[in-house]
Amino acid sequence: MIDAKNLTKKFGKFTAVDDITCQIKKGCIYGLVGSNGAGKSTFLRMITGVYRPDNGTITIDDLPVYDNPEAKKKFAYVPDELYFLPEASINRMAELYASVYENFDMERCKTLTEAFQLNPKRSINTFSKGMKRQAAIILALSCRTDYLFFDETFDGLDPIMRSLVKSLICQDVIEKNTTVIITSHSLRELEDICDQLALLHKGGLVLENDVDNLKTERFKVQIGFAREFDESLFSNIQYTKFKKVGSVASMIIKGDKDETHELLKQLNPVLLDMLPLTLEEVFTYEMEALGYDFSNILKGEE
Amino acid sequence: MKNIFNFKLFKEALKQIRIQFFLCLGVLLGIAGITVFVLIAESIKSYQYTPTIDYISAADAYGHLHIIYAIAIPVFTIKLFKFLTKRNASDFYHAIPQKRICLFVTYSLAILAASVVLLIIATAVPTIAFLFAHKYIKVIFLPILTYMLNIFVCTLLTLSIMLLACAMTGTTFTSFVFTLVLLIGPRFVIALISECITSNFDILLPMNADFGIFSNSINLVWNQIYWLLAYEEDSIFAIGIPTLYTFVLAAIYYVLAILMFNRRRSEQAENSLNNPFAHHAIRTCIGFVSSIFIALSLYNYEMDEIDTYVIMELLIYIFVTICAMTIYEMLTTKKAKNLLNVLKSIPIVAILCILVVVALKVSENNILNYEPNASKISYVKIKNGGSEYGYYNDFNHYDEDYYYDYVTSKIKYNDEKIIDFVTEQYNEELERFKEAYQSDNYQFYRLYEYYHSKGELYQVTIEFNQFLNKAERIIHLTESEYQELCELMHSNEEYKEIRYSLPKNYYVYENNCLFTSDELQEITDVLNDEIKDLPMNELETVLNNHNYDSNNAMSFYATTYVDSAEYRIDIYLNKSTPKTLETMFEILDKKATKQSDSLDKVCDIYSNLNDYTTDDIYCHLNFMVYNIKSGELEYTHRFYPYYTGIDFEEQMKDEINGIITLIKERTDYEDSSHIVFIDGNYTINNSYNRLSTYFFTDAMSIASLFEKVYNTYE
Repeated sequence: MIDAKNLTKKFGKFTAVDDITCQIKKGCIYGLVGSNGAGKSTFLRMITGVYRPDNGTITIDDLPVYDNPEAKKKFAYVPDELYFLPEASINRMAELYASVYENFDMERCKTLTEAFQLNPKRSINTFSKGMKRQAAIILALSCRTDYLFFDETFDGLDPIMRSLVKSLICQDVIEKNTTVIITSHSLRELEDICDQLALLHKGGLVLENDVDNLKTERFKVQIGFAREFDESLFSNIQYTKFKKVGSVASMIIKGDKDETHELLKQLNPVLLDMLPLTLEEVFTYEMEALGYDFSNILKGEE
Repeated sequence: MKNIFNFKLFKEALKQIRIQFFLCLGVLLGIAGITVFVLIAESIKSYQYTPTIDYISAADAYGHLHIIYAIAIPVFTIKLFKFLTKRNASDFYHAIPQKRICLFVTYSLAILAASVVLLIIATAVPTIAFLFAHKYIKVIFLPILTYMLNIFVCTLLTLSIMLLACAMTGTTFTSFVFTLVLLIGPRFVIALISECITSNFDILLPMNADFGIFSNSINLVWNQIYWLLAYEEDSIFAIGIPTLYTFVLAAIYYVLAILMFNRRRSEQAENSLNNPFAHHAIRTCIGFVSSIFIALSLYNYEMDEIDTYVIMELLIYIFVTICAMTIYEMLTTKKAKNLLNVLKSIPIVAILCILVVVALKVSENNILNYEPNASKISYVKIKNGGSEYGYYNDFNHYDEDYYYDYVTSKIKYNDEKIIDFVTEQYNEELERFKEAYQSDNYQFYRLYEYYHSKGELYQVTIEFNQFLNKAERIIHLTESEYQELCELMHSNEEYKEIRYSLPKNYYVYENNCLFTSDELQEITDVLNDEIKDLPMNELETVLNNHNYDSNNAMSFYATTYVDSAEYRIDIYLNKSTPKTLETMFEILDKKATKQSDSLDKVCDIYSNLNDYTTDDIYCHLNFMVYNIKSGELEYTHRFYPYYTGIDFEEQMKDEINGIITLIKERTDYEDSSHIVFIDGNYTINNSYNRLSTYFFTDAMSIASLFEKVYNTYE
C-alpha cells in the first residue's frame, strides 16, 4: 500500500504539491487527474523517490521511499519525459534495467517488443514519440514489480496501442495484484481503466473516490407527472440540479439507486427514467458541490 | 557492501564508456607505438655502430600516460555523470532502486577501473615491445612503476575534483568551470603569492623555496601544469610527500563529492541556480582568483607610493575581477537581473584580498625577524646556488638533476662548527638586507654594490632546522668564506661517504659510442676503486657536475635513481685517474685495428663532399689528439664547412693541411703515446649518419693519414 501523509513540495516560492494525504491500496489502478501544473508529476516524483518532500512522509508497503532501494525495487516508473541511453536500443536498455531491477524479465521484454512490433536492435532515438513511449512501457512492464507508475503515459499512443497498454496493465493487476498509478489531464483516458480516481488542483487533492462509487452514487432522474408539481414534491430525496420543463423534471440524485427508485415510484409518476452519469458529469457535479468549477479546472484555468 | 557497490551496475557503467575507452586506448597506444618505434629504431641504429644498450626510463617513453588523467578521466566522467545535467536522465537515475552513494561509488569506480586498465595496457605494451628489443634496449622497471603510481594518484585527484564539480553543479559548463577553479585556482593563487614573497626577498629566499604544502611541487597535477608553464620542479618521477599529499587531497575531494552527491536534488539538473550556495561559491572563487593581482599590488606598493599609475593599475584589476564574475553569471544564469548577484560576491572577494595582504605582511615580518640561534639549531642542510642573480660563481650552481648535488643537499649537518658558521653568515646577511630593505630607494642597488665590492661571490642555500621549525635562506660568501665552508663540509663523514663512491646502481653512457655497456661498466668499476684514495680537490675534478674541462681525456655520464627519481652523474677521466685511463685505453687498443673500415668511410665521405649538392648534405668533423700518459686532450679541432659559395673540397684541403702542419711541428707526438679520434657527422638527404674512429699512432702515422686524405683532393 502507498501511504502519503501531508506531502508538500515547493520550488522556491512556488508550491507544487500542497499537503496531500492519500492511501492507495494494493491491486488498485489509481488515476490522478488534473490540469497542467496541478502537481501530478511532482506528486509521482515524490512517490518514486526522485524528489524529497519538503514536508510529510511517503511510504510504500511501510517503507520510506527516498534513497531506499528496498522500496524502490517494488516499482517501475515511466516518467513524462523519457530517458534512454544515447544511441541505445531496447535490448541495450533492457541490460541497463536488468542491472538494477532484480526481477527484470528478459523473456517478457522480448515478447512485448514483438507484440508492439518494435525493432529491439534499433536505436530508440530513431523511434517516433509514440514508439519511444511504447519502449518505455515495455521496459517498465518487464521489471515485474509490485507497483507501476505511469506519468501521462497514454500521450502519443494511437488508440490501438493505448488499448494494448491498458490490457497489459489490467493483466498485471489481475494476475499479480499489481498496483498502478496513472496520471493524465484527460478524465476520459482514465475512466475505463481506473478503480480509483483523484483530482489534483493547484497542488492540492480536491477529490478522491472509487470510480464505481462515483458512478453509482449519483445518477440522473427524469420524472414526469400528469398533475402539477414543484420541487417540494422531492423534499425527502437528496438532489441537485433540479430543472423542470413542462410536466417533466430532471435532477441529479446522490444515494442508493434502488431505494431512490422505490421512493420516486411511490409518487406515481407517468415517466421515470434513471440514467447513469458519465465520469466527467460526476466530477462536474462533485466539484460544484465543493465550490469548484470543474470545467475550468480541467482547462487549467487557475 | 551491497549498499555501496553494485557489480552489475559497475559492468553497465563500463559498457557505457567502452567507446570512449577504446578511443583513448587507441590514442595512447598510437603515441606509445610511435615512441617505441623511434626509440627502438634509434637504438638498433646506434647498436650497429657500437653495441651499447640504451636504458629506458619513465621520462623517455611513457609521457603518453599523462593523457589518462588529462583527457580520459574528464571524458569518462562527463560521459557517465552527464545524467546530472539532464532533468529526465537525473530523474531516471534517482528513481532506480539504488542508493545514491551506491550509484556514485559504482560509477566512479568504473571510471577508475577503466583508467587503471588504460594505465596498465599503455605501460605494458611499450614495455613488452622494449623487452622484445632487449638486445638494444633495457627497461628500468622501478622508476616506471613509481611513475605509474604517480599518474594513478593524479588520476584520482582529477577524478575526485570532477566528481565534486559534477555533484555541486547542474550544467556541464558550470561543472567545467568549477573543475578548473578547484584544480587550478588555489594553486594559481598560492604560486603567485609564493612568487611575490620570493621576489621580494630574493636575496634571502631561494627561488624555489620550500613552502611546505604551499610548494608548487606538492600537488602532482598542479606540478605538471606548472612544469608546462615554467618548466620547473617536475616531481612526477619520484615517490615522496607530493604522492602522499596528492592522494590525501584526492581522498578529501572524493569524500566531499560523496557528501554533496548525497545532498544533491534531482531538480538541480540543468539548473546551476538550484544550489545557490555552490553558485555563489563558484562566482566568489572566480572573483578571488581574478582579484589576486589587486592584493599583490596593494602589498607591493607602500601608501606613499600610490600615484595615478598605481590607481589606474588597481582600477584595471578591479574591472577585470568584476568582468570575470559578470561573465560567469551571464553564462550560467542567462538573465540580466541576476547580474546584481555579482554585488554579493564583491564584499567577500574584498575581504579575501585584505586577508591575503595581511598574510603577506605577516610572512614578511616573519622572514625579516627570523634570526636563527646556533645553540638551538639541531641541524642544517646546505646546497649551492639557487638564484637567478648573476653576481655569484655560476660553476657552483646547485642542480637538482645531479646525483651528488641532490644527495649531499639532503645531508643533515649537525657539526657545531658548520652550524655556527652558517648561522653567523646568515645573521650578517640578514642585517645587511634589513638595512637595505628598510631604506627607501636604491635598496637593492645598495646590496648589489656590496656584493660587487667583495669580488666573486658564492651563493649557498641553507636550511635551518630547529625542532619542527624549518627555514630556507640564502647566504652569499666570498671565495675564502666559501672555501672555509667547503672544508667543514668535506670533513663530514656522511658527505665523504657519498662523494667517495658511485651509487650502488647506475647506468653509464658515453657520447662517442666507442664502448659497449659492459666495457663502460668495467671502466667505471675501476674508477670506483680509484677515487677512494683521491684528495677531495682532485675527486671534484672527476665526479663533479660543474667541472667541465676540455682537457679531460674522456667524459661519460651515468644515471642513477634515488627515491625512484632519475639523477645524473658526470664522470671526467683525467690525470687523477691513471688506472681508469689505462683500462679505458687498453679496451680501445684491443679494438683499434677493427676501426680501419670506419676510417676508410670517413676518408671517403670527406673526400667526396663536392659530389653532394648543398641542399642534401650537412656535415662536420672533429679531430682530437689525446695524450695517453697525461690523460689530457692535447689538440682538438672542429671543422664546420661553409655551405654557400665556397667549394667543400677547398675548405677540406685547408683544414687538413693545417692539421698536417701542426702534427709535423709537434715533435713530442713522436713517442707513440697519443690516440687520435676522428668523429664525423653527416646528414645526406635527411638521413643522419655518424662515423667515429680512433687509432693509436705516432706523429708520422697521423700526418701520413691526413696526407692520404689530402691527396684524394689533388
